[in-house]
Amino acid sequence: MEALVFVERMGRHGEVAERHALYKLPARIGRNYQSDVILDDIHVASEHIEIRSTEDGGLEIEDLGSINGTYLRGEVSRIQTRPIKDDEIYRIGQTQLRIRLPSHIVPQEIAIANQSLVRNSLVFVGAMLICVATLYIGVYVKTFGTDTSKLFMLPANFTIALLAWAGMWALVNRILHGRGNYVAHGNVIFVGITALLWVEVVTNYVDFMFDLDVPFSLWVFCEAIVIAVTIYAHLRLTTRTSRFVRVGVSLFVSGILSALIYGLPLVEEEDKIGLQSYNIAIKPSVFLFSKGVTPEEFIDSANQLKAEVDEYANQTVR
Amino acid sequence: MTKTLRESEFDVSKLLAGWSGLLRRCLFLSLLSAHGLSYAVASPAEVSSQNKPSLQAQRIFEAVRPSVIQVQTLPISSDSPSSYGTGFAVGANNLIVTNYHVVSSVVMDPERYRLEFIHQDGRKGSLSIVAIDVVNDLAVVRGETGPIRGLMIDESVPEKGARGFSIGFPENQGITVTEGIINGLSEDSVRGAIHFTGPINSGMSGGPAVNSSGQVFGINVSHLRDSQMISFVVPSRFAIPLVEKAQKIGSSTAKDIFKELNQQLKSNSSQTLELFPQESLPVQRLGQFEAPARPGDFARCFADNEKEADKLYAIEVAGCNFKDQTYVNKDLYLGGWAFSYSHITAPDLGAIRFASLQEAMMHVTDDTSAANRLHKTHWSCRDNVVNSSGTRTKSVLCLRRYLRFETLYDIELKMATIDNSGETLVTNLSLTGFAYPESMAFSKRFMEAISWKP
Repeated sequence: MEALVFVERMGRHGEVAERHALYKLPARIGRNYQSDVILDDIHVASEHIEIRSTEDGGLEIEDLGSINGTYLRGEVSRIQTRPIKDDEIYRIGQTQLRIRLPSHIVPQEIAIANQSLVRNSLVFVGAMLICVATLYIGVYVKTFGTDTSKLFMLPANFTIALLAWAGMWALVNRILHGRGNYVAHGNVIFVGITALLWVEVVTNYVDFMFDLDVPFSLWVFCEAIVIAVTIYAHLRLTTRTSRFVRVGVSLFVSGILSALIYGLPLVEEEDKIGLQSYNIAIKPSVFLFSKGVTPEEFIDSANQLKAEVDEYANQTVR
Repeated sequence: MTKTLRESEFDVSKLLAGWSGLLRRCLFLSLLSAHGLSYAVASPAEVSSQNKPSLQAQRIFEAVRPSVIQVQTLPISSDSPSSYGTGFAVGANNLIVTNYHVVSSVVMDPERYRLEFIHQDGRKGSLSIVAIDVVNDLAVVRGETGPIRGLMIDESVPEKGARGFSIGFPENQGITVTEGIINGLSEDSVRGAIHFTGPINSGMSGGPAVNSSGQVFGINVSHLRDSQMISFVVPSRFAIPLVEKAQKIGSSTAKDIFKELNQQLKSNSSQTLELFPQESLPVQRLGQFEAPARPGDFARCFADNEKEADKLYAIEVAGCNFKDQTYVNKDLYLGGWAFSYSHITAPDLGAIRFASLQEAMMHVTDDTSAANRLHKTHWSCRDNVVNSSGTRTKSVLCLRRYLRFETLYDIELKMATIDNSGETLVTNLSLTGFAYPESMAFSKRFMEAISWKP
C-alpha cells in the first residue's frame, strides 16, 4: 500500500522531528486518539485540521474550528482552508507541520566536504600549543632577568582569553545551527593569533636583514589581512550568507580593529621618538645581509628629513 | 641616583627611564646655573627677609632709586600684570636696560602681551623693545618716562670680596635695596656671570647691581637652586654694546625684534658647536669602545654604573651636557646639547635576547616637553646600519623644526653597536635648537669618533 501523503513535525532548528505516512484521505490531525496524526501539544485542539483531496486532484487543509487557529509559519492571518504546497510550513498551537506528497523531488546529493582538519581535536591541541609556545618565546626574549618563573603568566592568561573567544563563537553557532563547533572555532583563533605574531617576527627580521625601512603602514596592512581572514573563517563556520557579505563584514571589522589596536597608540605617542616613527629592529648580527652605509651617507640622508619637516612646518605656519 | 634605579626594578625600560630622568635632572641643573630659571614671574612665597641696609647702602639707594623703574608685562586686554621685573635708565635718551627674560613674552607674542613701566614717584606709561641680547639675557627698552637720570656703567668686574648692592622691585614690595658680596666670575657658566651672594628676589631681575661708588657693574638675575637663593649678575660689559646699538637704531618693530631673536639664536647655536675642539674630539674608553669624552669646561659630565643581582646584564652610564642653554621663553630653552652612553655587558644573555635588549635601549626617549609641542613639528626619522670605525651600528636619526624659528632644528641621534653580542655601546646625542648644516656636520664628527678598539 502506497502512502498518499506525509505529515512532518518540524524540530526547533528546521529539521524533521517526526514523519507520519498517511494511507487514506481525508485524514485528521489533533490531540484526541481518533486522529490519524496525534499531537501532544496542549495548544492544539482535539480535532484541529483535516487534510483532504480536492475535486481537481490536489490537496487542501481545513481548520476544524480550533481556538488557537492555524497559520502559515511567520504570518499573522488565520487559515480556514488552503491548498497544500510542498514547502509551506503550518503552525498549529506550538507545533510546526509540513505536508508533502510522495511526488516531492529532493535536491541532489552533496558530496561530504573535507573539513576533517579544522574539526580535528588533535589539530586543535597542536594549534593551541604552537600559539602558547610563540607567546612564551616572545615574552622570554624580552626578559633580561635571571628569574623566568613568572613568564608563563601572560601566555596562560592570553590562552584563556582565546579559549573564551572560541567559546563565544561556538555559542553563536549553537544558537543558529544547533551545534557548537568548538574545535573548529578554536582552531581558527589559535591559527589566526599565531599568524599575527609571526607576521611581526618575520617583518622585523626582514627589516633588519636587508636594512629596509618597512613602513609601519605596510606592517599594519599585513596584520589587518590576517585579522580579516580569521574573522572570515569564524563567519564561514557560523553563517550561511553569501561569500560577498562575509568578505565585506570581515574587512570592515578588521579595519576597525586595526585602527583601534595600531592607530590609537599612534595618536597618543605622536610626538615621541621611537614608537612608530621608525623601526629599530635589532637582531643578532649573523642575520645581517645588508652592507650598511658610511656615516657620511647616513648624515647626508637627513636632507630628506629636513625637506619633510620644513614642508610640514611651512604648512602649519601658513 | 641609586634610589632612582632601585625604585624601578622590574623591566629594563623602567630602568632606562630612570637613567633618562637622571640625564634630564642634570640638564635641568645646567639650566638653573646658567642665567636663572623660572625667573620673571614673582611668586609671593619668594619674598625674602630684608637685610637691614647699612648707611652706605642707604646712601647708594637714594642716589640710584630715581633711575630705576618697575617693568610689567600685561596681557593686551587686561590691566593686571602677568609678571614683573625691574629696569634702569642709562644715558640721556630714555633708554632702559633690563633682562631679556623680563620682556620675553612680548618678544615672542607681541599680539598677546604689552609692556608698562611704573616709576617709584608714580609716573606710568608704556614701553617698547629696542634691542635684545637673548644669549646674555639682556634687553634695552624705551618709554615715555619723562626726564630720568641715567646711571653710570662700570664695565670691569669688581674684585672678589667687594661689596655690591642690588636694587629692584621684589614682587610688589616697592623699590628695595639688598647688600651682598661679589664673588668674581662664576665657574658654572660659559659666558661669565658674576657670582653675587646677596639676595636677589624674582621681580628684581633686570635691576642694576652697583658697586660702592654707585656705578652699575651688572644686571640682576634672580636665581633659585634647591630652594636656596643664589644670585647671579650679568656683567655690564655685555650691556654696553647693546645700549650703543639701541642708541643707533632708535626704535624697532616687533617683527624686527623677533627676526633679531631668530638671528641671535642661530649664530649662538653655531658658536656653541665651535666651542668643541676643532681637530679631534677627546675620547674616553667604555669597555672595548672609544667614544667622545668631556670636550671642555663648558660641559658638565656624569658617570655611574649598576649591576643588580637578578639581572643578566650590567650597565655603565656616562654622558655630558652643555651648561649654558639659552632661555627663550617660558618652557623654551634652546642651544643645549647632551650626549650619553649606556655601555651594556651581558655575556650570559644569548644572542637573540641580547639583540632585543638593544632594541629596548633604543626605545628610550627623553622627550617630555609636552608644553613645547606647540613650537615644533613632529619628528621625522630614518634608520640604517652604519659602518663606523671598526664596528657596525644600528643608527637612527630624527629631526624636527621649530615652527617659528625657520633655521632651528632639534636633532636626535641614537646608535647601538651590533657586531658583538654580549657587549654593546648605545649612544644618544641630542641637539636642541641648532642650525641645520652645523649640527649635521657635528653629528657626523661625533659619529665618526665612536670606534671599537679591543
